[in-house]
Amino acid sequence: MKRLFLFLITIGILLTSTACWNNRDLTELSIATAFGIDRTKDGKTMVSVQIVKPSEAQAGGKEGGGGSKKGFVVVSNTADTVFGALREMLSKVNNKIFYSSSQIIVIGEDAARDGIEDFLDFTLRDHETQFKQLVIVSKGVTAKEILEQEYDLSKVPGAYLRDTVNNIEARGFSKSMMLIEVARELATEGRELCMGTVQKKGTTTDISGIAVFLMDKLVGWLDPFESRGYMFVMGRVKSTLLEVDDPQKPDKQVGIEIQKTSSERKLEWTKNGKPSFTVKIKVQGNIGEQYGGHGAMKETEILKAVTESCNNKIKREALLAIRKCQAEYKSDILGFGMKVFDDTPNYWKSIRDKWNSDFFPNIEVNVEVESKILRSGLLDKPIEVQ
Amino acid sequence: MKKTKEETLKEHIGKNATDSKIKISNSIDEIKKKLEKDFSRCSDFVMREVEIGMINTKVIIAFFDGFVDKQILSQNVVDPIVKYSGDNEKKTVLELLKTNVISSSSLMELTTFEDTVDSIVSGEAVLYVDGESKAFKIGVKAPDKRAVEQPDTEITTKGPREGFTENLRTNTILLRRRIRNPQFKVESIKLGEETKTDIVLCYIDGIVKHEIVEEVKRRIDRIKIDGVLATGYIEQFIQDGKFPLFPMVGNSEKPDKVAAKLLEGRVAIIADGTPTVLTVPFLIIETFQIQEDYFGEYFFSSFLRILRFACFMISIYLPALYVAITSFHQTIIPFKLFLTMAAAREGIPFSAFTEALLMIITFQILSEAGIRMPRAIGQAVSIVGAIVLGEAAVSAGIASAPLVIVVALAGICSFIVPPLMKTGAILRFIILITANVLGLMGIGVASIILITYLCNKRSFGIPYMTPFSPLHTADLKDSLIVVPMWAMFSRPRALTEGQDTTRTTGKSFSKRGK
Repeated sequence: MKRLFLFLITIGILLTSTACWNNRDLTELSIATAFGIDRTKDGKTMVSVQIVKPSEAQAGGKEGGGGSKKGFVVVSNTADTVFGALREMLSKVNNKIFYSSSQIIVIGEDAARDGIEDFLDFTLRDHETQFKQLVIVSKGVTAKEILEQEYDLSKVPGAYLRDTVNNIEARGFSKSMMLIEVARELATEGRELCMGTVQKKGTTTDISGIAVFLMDKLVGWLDPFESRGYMFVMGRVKSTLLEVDDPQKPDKQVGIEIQKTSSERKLEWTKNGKPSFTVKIKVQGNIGEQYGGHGAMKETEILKAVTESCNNKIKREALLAIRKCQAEYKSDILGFGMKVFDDTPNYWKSIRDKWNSDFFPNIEVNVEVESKILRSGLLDKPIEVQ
Repeated sequence: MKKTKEETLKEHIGKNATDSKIKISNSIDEIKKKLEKDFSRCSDFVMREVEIGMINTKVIIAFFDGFVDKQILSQNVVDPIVKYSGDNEKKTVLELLKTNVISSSSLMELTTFEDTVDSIVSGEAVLYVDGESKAFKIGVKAPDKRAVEQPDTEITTKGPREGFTENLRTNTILLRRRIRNPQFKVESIKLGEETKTDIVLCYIDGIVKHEIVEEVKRRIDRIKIDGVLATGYIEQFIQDGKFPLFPMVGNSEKPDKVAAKLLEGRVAIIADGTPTVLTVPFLIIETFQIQEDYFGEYFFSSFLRILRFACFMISIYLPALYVAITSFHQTIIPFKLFLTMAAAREGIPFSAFTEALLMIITFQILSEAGIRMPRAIGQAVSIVGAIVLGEAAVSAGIASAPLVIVVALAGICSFIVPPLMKTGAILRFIILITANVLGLMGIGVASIILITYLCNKRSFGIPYMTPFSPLHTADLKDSLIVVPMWAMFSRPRALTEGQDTTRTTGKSFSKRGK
């Protein structure tokens, strides 16, 4: 009797301590693959959700004739808050919206300029949203328009956008940011937020460039090459192609395939007590293509010249990005402030509030690049056309 | 008043209720009357009355037709008695018969009438002599006809193929041939008030723990049952616990397997009439052990052991995991798989749980039908089962394809560990229900209860989870992994404690040597 009692108590404690109470079947869910957040003219929040029809998204023409149908719908709703808009969406959608499968959050340009902190609160607070989903800013179009974009290659636009962002991040032309990283960068002292941008180009979307934020507000853009400069400074470029002039025929190009980058930064103090930085970028790459055929130079000389121009090009791009952030946006997305904070916390305390406005735009930044070209692919010289 | 078992029995074999062991009567006529009364309406009972050649003493030979080898009986008993031409020099008739006349090799003197009846019903011939209060039991049992074959239930691709038969003597010989050692003991017990079935306990003296043998004997002595028609009857009486969810007694039809178990310090129980031999104590790890594990490539054996264990886990957990994840934890499914599963579930009218329950029950029905049906219609059942039920259910939109895969995989996996098949079928239901109530949490709760239950079990005093809990590091060599034979230095410590535990001192042959 006593043992039975103990057993029941144990089970009781186990059952009441914590549990997932909501048993929902897969068929009772509307599967969201992307979110869009826009700011309407009257200052309200418009949330758009891209909902896929799994059988359409899955079929891919398997069941004959299904191939031409659109696999998703975009539903939007306007309210004062994100959560409010989502909740009221049930008047337009039959099943409860399942947020966890969302792949990407698109923030409209207007919404981003007004500040994203309020939008992020819900996405971080709710237990169903995935911290792994990407966040991106739409440039020149509303988020809803991006969500409504159809793609020929995929019936799940959310997943298509996510894959594209991740691919372009490796090239260095944009930056892929997960929701959790956005939150981390927002909360990091001495470093401003920046993330990838998406825009509409012709009948499809194009992901390139970086949106620069100051605090939580969008202040401007970096073009693709500035973006790559930024990515070189951060050491985040994984695989990109640098086109430099052929040392033998300056009108022709040599493509360098960058395979490995790393960067280091060093804080130095100038004579008048201001911080200055030296960024050291190390790059490894191969010769991917060479136009212009044969010339008179020796291979070692070519290599030396190509390495040199590679260094210059990376340095130029990096400086472009740094100067633009310093002069135009006054936003330290490169995280130099973090280094100051780490090295001299007390000094940082005194300049923290003025860092972006007074200090960062004026600090001196030197960029040193060290490239190594290791291989030349399967050919050591271009073929000789005779 | 209701008659007790014993009273009925006594009345039946013609004795008064107070004196259970009466002496054999001196008068042959009285014996004859008694036998005729006891074995009335037994058409297969034979009573042969002859006179000893020169002495003119009457004897009766009683036996059951077909139960004894009549040719041997005639040659060794009847012939010599009838044709006896010597005289009775200073010997009693009994002495004379025993030493000079009967040439059968197995002969025993009996003194009570009850014993003689027992001998007749167990297949011996009994010889009563006029004027003597003793009788002879002559062992002329006819050999059983079924040959030693490979058992259907335990198929091996390598190693011995022999299997036990229904004949007790054949079975003990099969074991005796493998263990040629007087230390191999075969103790005989009779069980079953009505059937009087021969039971033997086998063990190897010097390896087995004496407490285990005593415990087995004690438990068997306690059994009062009408009949023992199969060892399964004994199994239910001697196993630990009233509601065993897991098998608590080992079953095998293979002499090599039983011999190996004896060598590990276990006790085997063989009953006449059953080819299945029981071995105790039984530990959970034995359900994953098969004979082939010990032949040849031990690394592969280890791999298969782990695979078997994984399969058991899959068979009980997979449907529950599927239900828990699709109805509670959709978040943890990778996006692409999620889309696939959602697409497959679209339009299914049942919840994942109902669907899983229906499919599992269907699978159980199919598997039971497969075992019970007459062989000739086997083809039909498998076609109807596999194609009609599985394929049609999916295309009719009643079951989703991923679930059919899940249930089928769980079902197939349950066949890999036959001793746990029944256990698995029950556990699969229980865990499925907990999964539907509480999701992964429910599976966790069910698992904790299951492990607690298993750790609490004992088989003949040995903890069921040995060697994992309590941990016997030396015994782990033959648990989820199998080390080569030459490295199994000791017998299972838990089973042979207090005895000699050295099993092997051999070494592997390697070219380098030492």
